[in-house]
Amino acid sequence: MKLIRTLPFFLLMGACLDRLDVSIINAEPQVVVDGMISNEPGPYVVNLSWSLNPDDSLESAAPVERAIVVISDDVGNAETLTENPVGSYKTRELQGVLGRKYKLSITTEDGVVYESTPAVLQPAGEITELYFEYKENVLNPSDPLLPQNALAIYVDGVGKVGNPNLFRWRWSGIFHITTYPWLRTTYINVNEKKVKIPFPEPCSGYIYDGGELTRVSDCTCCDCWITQKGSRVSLTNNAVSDLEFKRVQLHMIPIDKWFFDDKYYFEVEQISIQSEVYNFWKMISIQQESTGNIFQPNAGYVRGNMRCISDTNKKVHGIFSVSAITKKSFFIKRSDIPKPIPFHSFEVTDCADYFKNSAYQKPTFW
Amino acid sequence: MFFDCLIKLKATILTTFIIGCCYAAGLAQSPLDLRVEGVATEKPLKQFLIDLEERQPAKFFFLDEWLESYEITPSENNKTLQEALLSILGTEVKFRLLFDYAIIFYVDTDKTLRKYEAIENATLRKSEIEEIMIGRKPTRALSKEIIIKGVVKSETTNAPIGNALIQVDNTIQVTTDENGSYQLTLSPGESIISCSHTNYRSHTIILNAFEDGVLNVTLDEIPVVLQEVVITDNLILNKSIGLSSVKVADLKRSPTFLGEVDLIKSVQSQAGVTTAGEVAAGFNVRGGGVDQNLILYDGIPIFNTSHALGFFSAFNSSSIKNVAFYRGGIPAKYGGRVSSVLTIEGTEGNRAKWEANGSVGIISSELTIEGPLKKDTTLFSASFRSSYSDWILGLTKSKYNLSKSALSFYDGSLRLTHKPNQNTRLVFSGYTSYDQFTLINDTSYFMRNMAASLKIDKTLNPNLTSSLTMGVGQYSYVLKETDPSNAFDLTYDVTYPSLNFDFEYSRRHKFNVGVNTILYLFNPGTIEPKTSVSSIDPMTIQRKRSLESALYFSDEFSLNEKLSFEIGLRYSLCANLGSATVYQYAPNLPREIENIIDSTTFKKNQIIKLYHGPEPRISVTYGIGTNASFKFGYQRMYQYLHFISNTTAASPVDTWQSVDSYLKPQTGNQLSIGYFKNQKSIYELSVEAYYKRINNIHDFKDGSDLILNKNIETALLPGITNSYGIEFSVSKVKGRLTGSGNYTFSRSLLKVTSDDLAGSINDGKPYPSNYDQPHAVNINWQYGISRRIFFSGNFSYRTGRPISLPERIYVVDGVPVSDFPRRNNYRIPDYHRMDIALIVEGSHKLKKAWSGSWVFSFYNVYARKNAYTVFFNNDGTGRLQPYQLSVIGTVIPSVTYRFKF
Repeated sequence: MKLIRTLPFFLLMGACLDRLDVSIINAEPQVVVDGMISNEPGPYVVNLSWSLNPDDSLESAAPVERAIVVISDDVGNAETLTENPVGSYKTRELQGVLGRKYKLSITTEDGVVYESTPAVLQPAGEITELYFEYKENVLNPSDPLLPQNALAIYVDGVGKVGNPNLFRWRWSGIFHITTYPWLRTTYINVNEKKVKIPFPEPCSGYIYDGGELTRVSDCTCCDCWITQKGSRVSLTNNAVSDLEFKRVQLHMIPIDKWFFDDKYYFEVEQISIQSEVYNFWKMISIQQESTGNIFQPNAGYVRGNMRCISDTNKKVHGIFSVSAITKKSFFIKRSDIPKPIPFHSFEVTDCADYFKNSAYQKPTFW
Repeated sequence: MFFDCLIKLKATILTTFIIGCCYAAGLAQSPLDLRVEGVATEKPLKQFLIDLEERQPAKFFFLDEWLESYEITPSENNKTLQEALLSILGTEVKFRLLFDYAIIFYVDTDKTLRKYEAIENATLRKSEIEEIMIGRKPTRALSKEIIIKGVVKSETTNAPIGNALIQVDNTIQVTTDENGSYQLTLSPGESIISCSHTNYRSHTIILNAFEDGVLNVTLDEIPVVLQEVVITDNLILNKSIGLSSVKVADLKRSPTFLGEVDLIKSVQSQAGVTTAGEVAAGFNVRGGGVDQNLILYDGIPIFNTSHALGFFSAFNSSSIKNVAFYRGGIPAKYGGRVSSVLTIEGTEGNRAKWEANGSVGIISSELTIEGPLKKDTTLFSASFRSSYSDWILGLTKSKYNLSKSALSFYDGSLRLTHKPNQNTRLVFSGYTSYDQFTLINDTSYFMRNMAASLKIDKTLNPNLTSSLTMGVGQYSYVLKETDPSNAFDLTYDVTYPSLNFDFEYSRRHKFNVGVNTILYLFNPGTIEPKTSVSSIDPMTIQRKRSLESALYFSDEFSLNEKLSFEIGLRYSLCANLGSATVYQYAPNLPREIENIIDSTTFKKNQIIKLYHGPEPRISVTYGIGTNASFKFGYQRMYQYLHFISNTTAASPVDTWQSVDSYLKPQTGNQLSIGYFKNQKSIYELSVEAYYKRINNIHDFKDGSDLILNKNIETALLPGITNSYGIEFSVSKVKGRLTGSGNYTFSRSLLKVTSDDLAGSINDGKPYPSNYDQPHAVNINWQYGISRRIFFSGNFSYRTGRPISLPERIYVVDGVPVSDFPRRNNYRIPDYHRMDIALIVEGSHKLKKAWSGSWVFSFYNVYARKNAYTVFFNNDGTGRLQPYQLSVIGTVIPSVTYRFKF
């Protein structure tokens, strides 16, 4: 529960917020495991990387190369995964089956052996409802230039009687934007005067040869589909109920002129997890929820389900999740928003220039 | 004069020796072996000796005044001269045989010197000197010691003065108790008694006492209108180690924060006491938690000691009469917390006339009215303080929308004292404090303390007093969220009626025996949705109740002039009572909800779990010479309440929980040893070392939910705290410049181990507790520029408190994760701050209708940005960046006007 975001009273006292000056932390890198097997068709991926220092860029993690990675089950199947690209290990044939017990074993190049706690692939239950509500003045209270209103997305789920029903929800969203890269212009000097001329992006399908703007092919960078993924962890609260989960808020989509240019696709996965993996995500969710709160709980050690077998003093991070997945999705149309929103500005460059994770390819379900 | 006498005596002895030596050789029998014969009637001893000199080859040397009151009686016939002299003179006048014929009489010169020194001191201090005789000077020595009792009162208000210091012949020190009473055990004869208190002119009495008696003293008030509580140590002969008597006193001339005089801040400047943040609520004593301090207001425990999350103390210093702070040597009558005891006694009121005093500050104002409802029988005192800071928030311009924010507090106290007769006193006391703050995101906090008590003191005979206290206290908070979509009220409260019966018998031994009992009724948390659209589900955590009782006995006595003891035993028990459902967890598995295997339901008032144990206490003081002492103390304490918190700064929603089937009582054992020295009554020095071990302290499991947790036992892990430290203090108590300084080195290490991996913290290795601050320095001073203008200040330094910081980051399934490998693996920057103040007091004339004073204060004078708390912000990519919030980032000036009429 997020209790306090700020204490403005303190401002009276000349209160100030400064980055804490601590000596540079330079800890020895440790192996990070990020893998999953599910009841969905493979291939299943296990990513191995080295941990980073707290100030490093998150994209800069070095891969753990040339490891021997094996997923085995309790009925005698085992598959050694293939590394492609470096640090990313994939299955070829293995298919996760409900009720079977799976284990991940890793032997790194220097002979260190890591193993996950064997876990049973348990059913994911059902998503009974996925819905949204319009909320005003819920975002960015301190910056009126950023969106203030949002759509709150909720999910209702149900587990299966007789199962632990520990679930994590993972969502992704896709929205579409259109730009007009053939209308790009530039200035040139003519007789010491600046003259504006068309300067279409090559991918726009248009060319300008000094005369007219001519269409020579289809535009390949006018329409982009941008995928957003939630990084905030949503988990069942099994202390309240261990079968039915109501009104779990997954996300607040800001009412941004870009997101609702067309429509917004929202998909949620309900993923079954074991208690060790649940506790791993729980610790992360506490880290996330408590940020920015002056009464935040002390952060704790995030323990995964991997152990080092060859040296018990060696630490390893991350999880190998043995999970069933069930999904539900919907479209939110521009007209679903009760208050009018402006269209985004008229942009004349490659549509992929505006957001990360942009794709020119229209999703099949769009 | 005294020296003149000595010189005269010395000369006489020398000349006589020369003559006497001539025939000494011929003597066969020592004159002390001579038989006393022929005493027919009572006869002056001096005459008898002169007669004897004529008849026997013996010489007696003495000053007339030493022997003039003594007589020899026929009962001494047939005794040897030695036996007879011993029985007549006792210890007052001593004698010695020299050269087998000369008997030299002498008195204890050290003692005499001390007496003269005391008179000299009194003269210098312009103290009033009075001669008083109790009983008739006997004709022969009294073999037993005598007991003098009395009450110290204020001349102006006629109210008893607690904590007044009584010195005998410049050495023995006792302090008066809360009723102004004191008791002294003296040798018969002359003693110089000096009685002082910081708010009063001292008074010196040359007492010639030969029988038990009563000596009441009245002190003249020094007309100072400032009110502040100052803690000083009466180091040398305090019976207990680790006791600071806290005086509502004249060092009220120290800097304040926004003009608010603060009792808790005075406690925080004591050696061995630290605080976690800039203005954090509560205080930590010798490596203990903020919950381990028993704070009693007129005998009733108070849970929340601060306003506005620790900015101000919840006690208005104008309504406080006495405060005592024990961090060691805790008397057996107190229990229930393992680290320290702070007792606060409300002011009784002026006995002689109605008066009012108060102050006007920039955050709050206060007013105290007191006076006699019926002269000498019924007294009234009421005090109220309230903030008016809301409008300041409204005026403050900031990028945050402050108009929704509000902060306000008040506290009030009321005390009625009725004395129907000489031996009975009834005191009704009421206290409340209230806090409210509303934050930017529609969340409001309301916190309240309430305490009421009725105390009946009865003097059954001159040596035996009894005291019965009935009381009730309550601490509660409400957290209100008003955003309609998730509006709720979260409430927590604990109510605790109590009964305390105490007897005190004092002659040479001061016996204290009593029983106290307290019933805790907990509402550990209720949440209710407040709108029809609220997404909050209602929930109530099952109520808890527990009954805590204790029987205690203590004995305070002096074995001889050097060695004194306070020995006590307290036997406490606590029963956790139904109704309740208690869950059983699978053995050998982590205590998690999924490992519940069974449950047991208990009926109302059925005992679920009973804990009990003995709590021995001992304090020993050994005087070395007249100005130094060595002290030793041991104490064991049980604490049947747990404070549940997992935040770095004390949060308004932290809760208190009773012991139950899983939460065992905390037990603290502390050994302390100290050396105290008084240098010419100007400097006081002390060194004190301690070792403390507390079992069953509870730290939270990583990632546990503590608010509204139905199975709180699954969120907590029991551990052991080991604390040790050494405290050095020095103070200058006289002169234009007075002040004190202390340095403490201490450690407080916590160890939480368990068989299962998830049940240990830091792999079961010891780690610094949240309040492990190895180095702490406090300095304060006051300089009298003139009689009415003072410059004062204080400086404090503490090692930064431990904090957990991430050492690595990584990404799993697109989610950034920070790795906090060990709890409390780093420290925040060190804390230091200096405050100064200039105080201009009004005229010190006694008979003035109105007197006022100005306090100009500068808090944090060099604008240090000390961390109030450290927290993490997401930098936008998911990495956690530590930030420190410095709530006071600049120098805070303030002006306060205080008045009295």
